[in-house]
Amino acid sequence: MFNYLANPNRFLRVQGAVQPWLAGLTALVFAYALYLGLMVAPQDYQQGETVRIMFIHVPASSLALGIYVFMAIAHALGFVLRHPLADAAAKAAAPIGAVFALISLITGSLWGKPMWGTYWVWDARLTSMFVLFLLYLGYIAVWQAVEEPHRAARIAGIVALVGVINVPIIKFSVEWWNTLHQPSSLLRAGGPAIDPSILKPLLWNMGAFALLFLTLLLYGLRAEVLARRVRQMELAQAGAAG
Amino acid sequence: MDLAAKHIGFVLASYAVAFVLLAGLILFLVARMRHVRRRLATLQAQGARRRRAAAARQVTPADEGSPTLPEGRQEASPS
Repeated sequence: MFNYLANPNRFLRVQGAVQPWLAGLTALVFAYALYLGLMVAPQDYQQGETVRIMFIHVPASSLALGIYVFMAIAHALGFVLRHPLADAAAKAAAPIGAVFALISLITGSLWGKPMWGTYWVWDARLTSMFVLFLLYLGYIAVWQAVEEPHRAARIAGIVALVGVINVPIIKFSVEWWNTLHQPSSLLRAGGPAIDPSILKPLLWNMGAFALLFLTLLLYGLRAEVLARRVRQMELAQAGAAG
Repeated sequence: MDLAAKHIGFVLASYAVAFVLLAGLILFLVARMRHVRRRLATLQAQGARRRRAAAARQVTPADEGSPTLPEGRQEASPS
């Protein structure tokens, strides 16, 4: 499948066929996840209604990390295998990851104020998450600033591959340092430490966010493939005119 | 959800912020796609016009009647 879709024309055909179904599925899952999160999930005995912020904050945070890892892997495959769509996929994923990181930071602040009494504190988890957001912005800026696409891909790839070291720092920051942010509740030894009545809506919301990422990634990648086609035609026309 | 609960404003603000940011992202991607498609259509139309113009400039023997030799060359006369 991986090599099958390496051909841009083939990718465009497959993406065009899959996109409407994927978008529809995403909308349905989101609707159900929101229903579970807002209508079905109970209040927390300590946090009250603010526990519902978890259903946005945790999926956005998890995917912000996962998308950066995806970008690093894509660039690694681009460097090693010279896959024609690898760096395009990473470029298409970046704005999505940046928005998810921003959602994580803002909803985390809005959750922190009633829980901790402050919107922000420079502890390890929050600081490293903010660094991730800056890495996303830097990555996007490289693509905008460097005009030659192959050179831009190389520099952006270095940003992705070096910056990915921040991901395990974010993940384990709550264990390595004394942080205000709570320790892991989901992915931990011994299984999730969340009651099923809260865990079920959380998992559905994570699925919804993941589907949204996939939908937007394929759509953005289609635009990137077409943009490369535009560039090739512009260069060909400039060559013919010159 | 209890809309009269304590700190409910933070919950509503979180969902509103997420909605606005995701909507903005989707609009950005759609706008980019439209821009690329418009540019592609323009280039394809320009390319088609150029090909038609190049085809019209070519002189074909069938259109001109009897075949003509390039300038400067004479037909060989029977000896």
